[in-house]
Formats: sequence, structure tokens, C-alpha cells
Amino acid sequence: MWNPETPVATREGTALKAGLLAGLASAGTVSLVAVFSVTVSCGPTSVHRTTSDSGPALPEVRIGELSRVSELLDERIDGLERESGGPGAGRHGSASLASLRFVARGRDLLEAGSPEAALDMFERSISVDGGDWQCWVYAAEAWRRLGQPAEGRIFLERAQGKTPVDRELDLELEVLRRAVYLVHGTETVN
Amino acid sequence: MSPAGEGRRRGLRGLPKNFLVLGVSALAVGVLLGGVVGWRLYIGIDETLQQRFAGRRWDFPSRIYSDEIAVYPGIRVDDALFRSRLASRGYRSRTRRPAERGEFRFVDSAGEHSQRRLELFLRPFDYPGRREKGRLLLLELDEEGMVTRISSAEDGSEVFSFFLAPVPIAGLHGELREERREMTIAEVPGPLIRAIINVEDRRFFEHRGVDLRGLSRAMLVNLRSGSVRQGGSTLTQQLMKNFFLTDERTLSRKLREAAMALVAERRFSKLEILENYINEIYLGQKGGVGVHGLWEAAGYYFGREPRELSMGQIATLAGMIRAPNYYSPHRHPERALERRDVVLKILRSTGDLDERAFRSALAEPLGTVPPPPTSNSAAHFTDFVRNELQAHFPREVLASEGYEIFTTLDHGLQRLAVEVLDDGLRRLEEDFPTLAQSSARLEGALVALNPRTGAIVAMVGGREYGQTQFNRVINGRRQTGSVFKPVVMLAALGGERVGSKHFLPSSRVMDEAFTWEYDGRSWTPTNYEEKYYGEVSVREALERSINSATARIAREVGIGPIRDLAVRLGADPGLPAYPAIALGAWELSPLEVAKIYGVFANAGMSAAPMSVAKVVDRRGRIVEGNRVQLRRVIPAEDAYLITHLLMGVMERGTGKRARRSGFTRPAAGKTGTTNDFNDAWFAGFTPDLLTVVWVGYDRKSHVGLSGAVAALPIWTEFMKGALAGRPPADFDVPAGVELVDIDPRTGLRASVLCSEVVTEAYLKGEGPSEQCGIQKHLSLPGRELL
Repeated sequence: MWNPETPVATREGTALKAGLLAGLASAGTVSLVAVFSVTVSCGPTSVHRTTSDSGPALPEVRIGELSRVSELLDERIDGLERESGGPGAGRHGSASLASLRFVARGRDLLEAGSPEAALDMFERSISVDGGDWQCWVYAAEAWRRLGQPAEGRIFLERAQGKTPVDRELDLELEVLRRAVYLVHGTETVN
Repeated sequence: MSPAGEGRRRGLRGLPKNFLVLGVSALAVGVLLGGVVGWRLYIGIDETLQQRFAGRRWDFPSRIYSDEIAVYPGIRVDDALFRSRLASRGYRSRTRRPAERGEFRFVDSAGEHSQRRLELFLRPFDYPGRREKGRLLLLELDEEGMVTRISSAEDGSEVFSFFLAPVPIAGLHGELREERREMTIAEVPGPLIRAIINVEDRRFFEHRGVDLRGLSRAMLVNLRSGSVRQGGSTLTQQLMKNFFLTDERTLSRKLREAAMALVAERRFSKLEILENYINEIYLGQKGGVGVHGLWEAAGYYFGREPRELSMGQIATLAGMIRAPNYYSPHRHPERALERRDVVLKILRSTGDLDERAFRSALAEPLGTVPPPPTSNSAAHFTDFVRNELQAHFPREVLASEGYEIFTTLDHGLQRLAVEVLDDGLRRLEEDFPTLAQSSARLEGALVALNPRTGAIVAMVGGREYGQTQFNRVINGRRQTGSVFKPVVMLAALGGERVGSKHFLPSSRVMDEAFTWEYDGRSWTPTNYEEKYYGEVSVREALERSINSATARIAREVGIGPIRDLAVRLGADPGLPAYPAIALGAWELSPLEVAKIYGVFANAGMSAAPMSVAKVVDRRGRIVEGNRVQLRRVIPAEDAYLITHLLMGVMERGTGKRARRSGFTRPAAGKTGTTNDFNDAWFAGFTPDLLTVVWVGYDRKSHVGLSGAVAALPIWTEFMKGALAGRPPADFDVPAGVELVDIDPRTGLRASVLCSEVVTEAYLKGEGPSEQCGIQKHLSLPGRELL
């Protein structure tokens, strides 16, 4: 059972130590394992990665780091803005664009250390249009930062099948997935 | 001198002496007693005053608000719904460029590059955790009135989105029906204080609670005029009367009032007294509820906070104190204007206004905002919210603590729902006069939710709350008829394979009369008008709502798994497992039906219905916050299969009337009619909005109309109006689903040889591989005939 009184850092550190090495071989990460080998340092809840020969070097990913998610969010917003600038375009994408802009506002709040306000924005984004995956991923991260990672699982699950094929993104999502599935220092992999 | 004379002298000399002693003694005792009594009286008054000033001075009823409305490019603003959203928030249309908060105008710029524009001076408001600033926004519109770009008029910068303020829906009052918002003396603008003092009690800072000079002047004026023209009461006396006494015009009340005012002035500072006065003062009626305090009045009459009031508005409020309803700017604008001008003249005479400011204030219009409707269009929803809150907030707490309860209700959609339901039922009574002749009244219910979040955006629990407060959305459990059939199909098609037999949407089944034997009993489902179709696909069985074919599928799958699946989806766990439930012979409420359909609409996840978003106390702290609660119920692929079938119902089946009525966006839904024609349903959804409509009599008597005739038109009108201003959205196709073009007659993959082609959804790997017209002998599961 999830124990909300256990400090997040302890849970994350201990569980990551055990979890990430063993877990990458689990269901849903087979392709990742083929590409990367992953080692864990438990101190500041960070993940060091070395790459296999098949891919370029990837940066270190820490829990809570969603730099690729953020990049893809900006790219998507830029794309929709370009579309909406064209003649007759953008009308159908506007709910999506508005939704993503709420996500971007939420992301800023998250980065500013206000997960509660950020979650408000992510929920607003979902309410306007839940078609893009970013709102669900960020909502999961907000729950994690609120110290209730279990609440984030279902949001992360909702993003499944919507994310693009992207190695860096996969790794960030995998780290987030493991963070929200950590229970009592061990990991439950579904 | 005779002894008798001497005696008389002694007596005469002695008597006065005794009398003097007695008199002095009596006086001393009297003074002592009076002092004691007076002291006791003083102490008593002092204690009373201290208790009132130091303790809870007022009960603050909690208020229920609707949700705020997000506006962004892609939303249509030049339509009835958006205009009603502006009107319900007190926005006023102008022909000139908006100069004040709460004003707007639509502009058509002529010429070669003609363009429509909405100029909107936004009202500021606080929503838990954030503040929307008051500012002038420019919304560029396309030819259909949709927003293409929003920018700030101040610097031209792009604004991605903004919000319209939540609308107050209801107050949760106790016995005392008063509304007020407390403010400190520091928050009151100086001109407002000066106006009140000049009009009501010019010597407020000089007297000690009772102003003898003012009293004499008032008496003189009253004597001269032969009527009561001036009261002569100081602000302190008025406050004492309002706090502790009644309105009776008796000497004893006046004396008590004066005594209390004198004590109050000894105990409390002038500013403390003034602060209580401006929060206590009665300033008119909002329907059956009294408007108290300057903050509340400023918001009610002018839609502003006190610090935002113009000089004219300040004078209007100050002038109203004497007779709030007589000088009400809502009810008697001419009187209010006249009185305002009198106040302005007083302020000029006292030097509080110079000539220029005086002229400027005199030229101002009253500047009132329309009063919000006193009838609550969301009365059933209000009851629902009250019940939801009661677990954490007892009734008396809600009536006194002044919580602000922000709900999920979309005020515009709620009003639309009320209208549409009422119109729809009235039209039915006109078209089918027997419905109106019944001793009972035809009733209906409508509930609408955002399926992704579970937010209840509209809830109409009955035709007229005034007649019956029974909330049919929550408590009106009725047989659902065919609305239940998608659950049967889910059990048959779903990848979880919960039943004993698995079907494809294109699987063929026999539609003919049959008898289902179970537990030593038998049940013979019959079709509408006892018409049977022979061989049909699963899709056809649902689209045309064919009972016998659906019951046959249910028998193959097993009623137990169907029942369990229904409970998982959100039906009452008391749902029994007998065959007739496959055709909706069990009672569910509209909200339960919405929960079930919400799972289909939300990619297999259940979003718990939510009515309260946040509860905030008077200090602005969030004391309760509800979040979107999701739960995986079925795989997204299974949900999509059912959604895809239900989309077919709208295109070709019992729901196609919605298409004929002009509802064209991607949607999925199902009619429901009970065997005895007592209940008519329609449940349907787009990716953004899920709505369930029920029509029937409370006493379960014969309506005689199908869901398609009675409930679907109401659903259609609501959905058309509710979504008209939003960009259409498609349902997401999950990765585990493939869309295959097939021949609907054979269920085989379409080829050039097929005369008819439809697109069917399959779980990946389950779609047909053989093409129609290529092979004659088929061995696919889809060709198995039941």
C-alpha cells in the first residue's frame, strides 16, 4: 500500500535504486532495453544512462525532469499556431491549441513550484480538449509533485497510445511511470 | 406661651428637621440605588456590546457559484449562448468603444478588409488560486463569429485565453435571509465615508453617540413640516438599533438606543463603530434576501468593488441609506438619480466636491448592472450540491460561514437545458394532446457532463422546481429500455471476453422470436411491433435497436457477465442477473446511465461525476478542493468499439432523427423505450459533452412515445445549442483498434466486387481478411450464424 507519510525523496531514491535496473526489462520497455542500458544513482533521484552503439548519447534524466515532453509541447503549440495562421485552417485545432496553452501555463506553474495551481491548469486543459497527450502526462507529474504519485497513474495511463515514437520521450515517460508506481520502496510494474 | 403652643413649635421645628434628614437620606439611597441600577445597566450594555463587537457579528450565508467560462480562439462568441453568458454576468452592449468594465460591442469594419470584432472590457474576478484582471480585450472574429485572435487593447499583445467570471447561482441562508460581504474600514474609499457621514450624521466625529444638536434640528424640521422628515439618529444610534433593537417607534426604544450609543462610544473608537456600520447597513432587497453592507450593495447595484465606484455611484449608495427600497436604482431609477443629485449637492456644499468633480458626477448615468434573476434556474443542482457538501459542512455552518462554493455548472448550458426541456415537453403535449390531458404532468430530466472530467455542467431534475423538488436525475430510477443494450454489446465484443462467447461488430445473428429458458423459467423477448428481421449483424441489432437479436446475443454471452459489467460501468450493485435486464428491464437513474455512457465516451475510464470544484472560506483559503477522479473500467479499445456502434445509431439507426434536425458533429448515442412505453430515454455524447434525457410520468403511466420521438428531440436541441460555439471534435481511435472497410451484408473485407461498403471498427487482429465476392464458403467468426 502507498504510504503518504513516507518522504517522497526516500521513496523515490530507494525504489529507483531497485526499480529502474530491474524494471526496464519489464513489459512495455522491451524496446527501450534494446537501445539503452540504464544505471541508477539513488542520491538525488537521478538516472544515468549510457547508450548502446545504436543511438546517440542521451542526457541524464531525473525524476520530474520532462524536458523532452516540454520541447514536444512547444513544438506542438508552434505547429498548431502555424496551422491556425493559414487561411481557413486552425478552426478544428483551436480547442487543441487552447488546451495545450493551458498545459504550457501549468508547466510554468509546475516549474515555479506550484503543483496545486499547475494541476488546476492541467485539469482545465483536459476539460477543454483531452486529445493531446501532454495534459495527461503533466497532470501525472503534478500529482507526483503533490506527494500523491498513485493519483498520477491513471493520468499517465490515459496518455498511453497517444505519444509519438521518440526515444528521449520514452525514457522520460518511463522514469515518470516508475516514479508514480513506486510503492513502499518497491515497484509495481503493471 | 402655653405648653400646647410650645409643643406645636417643637413639632414645627422638629418636623422640617426630620423631613430634611429623611429627604436627604431618601435622596442618598435613591442616588445610590440609581447609581447601582445605572451601573448595572451600563455594565449590562457594555457586556452586550463587547460580545457583539468581539464575537461573531453576522452570519454570512455561503454562496454557490457556477464554473468560470474559458474563452479562446475557436470559440464562437457571436451567438445566443455567448450573449446570454455576457448578460448573466452583467455585461452591457454599447454602441461606442467600451470604456468601463462590463461593457462590450460588436464591430463590423467595412471596406476591402472588412472584419468583425468584439471589444470586451473584462470584469475582474477572483477564482481560487488566481485572479482574472479587468482589461479591454479585442477579439477578432471570422465570418461565422468564431474568435480567431485575442489581443490586449492596451499594448496589442496576444492573449491566448481568458475567463468569464463564475455566476452566483444561490445563497445557502439560515433563518436570517441576509447577504453581505465584510470589509475593513481601510478598504472603504474615503469619498464614500465622507458621503455617508455628510448625509447621515454630519457631526459623527464630534458627538459622543447622541447628537443633541442634530436631534433638536430634526425635531424642528419635523415640527415645521408636520411629518417625520429627519430622524436625528446618529450613525452610532442607527448601528445600535440594527444590532440590538427593532424598528418600533417608541420612546422607550429611543431611550435604549441612545443609552447603548453612549456606552458604545465610550467603549469603541469612532472607526470601529463606522466599520460595523458600513457592514451592517441595510441597502435593499435581492428578491427575498436583504442586501447588507456597502460591499454587497456595490456589487449588487453596480457590479463593482467599493474602491471601483465612481463619485456618482458613491452618492447613489449614500443617498439610499435613508430609504433603500424607495431610492433603489433598480426599482426606481428616477428617484435614485434625484436623490443622488441631492447628495452630490451636499458634498459640494461641504467642500468635499469641487465644482468640476460635482459637474462630472452629475453627468454620470446611474451605471447599474441588471439584477441577477431571483429565480434559481439550477435549483435541483443547488439541492444536489447542498447534499454533496453536507458530509463536510453541516447546514448551519453553510448558513453562517460565508463559504464561496465554486461548482462545475455551466450557467449558460444550465439555462439552455431548462429552456430546452421545458420547450420539448410542451411541444410533446401540443403534438400529442393526450399527454396534457393526463391527470399527472408529463415530466422530464436532463443531465449533462464533461465525459473527460466528470464535471456536471447542467442538471434539470424536473420540469418545475416550484411544483416538485424531486430530483429525477438523481432519484428518478426508471427502467432504461434499450439504453442498456450497449452494455450487452460490450460484453459480446470486448477484448476482455467476459462472456462465454465473443462476437465481432459484423457477426451475424438471427433475429426471430425465441424463448430463453433460465432457472426453470422462460422469457420470450419480442420486437417492436413484433417485426423480425431474420439475419442481422451485431451492429444492425444495436443501430435498429432490435430486441430479439440483442437478447439472443445476451444469451450467448451469459447474463451474469453482462450484469457484472454493468455494475463495473457504474450501475447500482443491486442490479439482478436475469435475462430481461439485457433489454433494460431494471431501473437506473439518469445519472447512473450517464456514468455508464461516460465510460464509453472517455476511452474506457470512468470520471466520477463532480459538482463541487472548490470551497473557499472568507479569507480566501481553499477548504475543500475536488479533483478529476478517473478509474480504468474497460480497455480503451472496447470503449471505442461501442462508441463506433453508437455512432452508427446516429447515422443510420434510431438516432438519425438528430441528423435530420441539423446536429451534424461526430456523436454517439442510443434511444431507450420501455416495453410498456412508460419511459423514453436518449443517452448520447460527443468527445466533449455527454447528455442523458428521460421523459415520462412520475407515476409510471403510459406515455406511448418512443425515446426517438420524446427524448431525442430534447437531447438534440440541447446538444446543438450547447456545442454550437465550440469547434467539433472527433473521437480518438485507440492504437489497438483498426478501421476496416467491409461489406455489411457478409461482414467480409470490402473489395471492388462489393455493392455496399461501410467502415467497421475491430480490435486489432480481429478484422476480416477474406474479401467479399472472392470466397463463397466462409469460416470467419463473423459468419457464424446464431
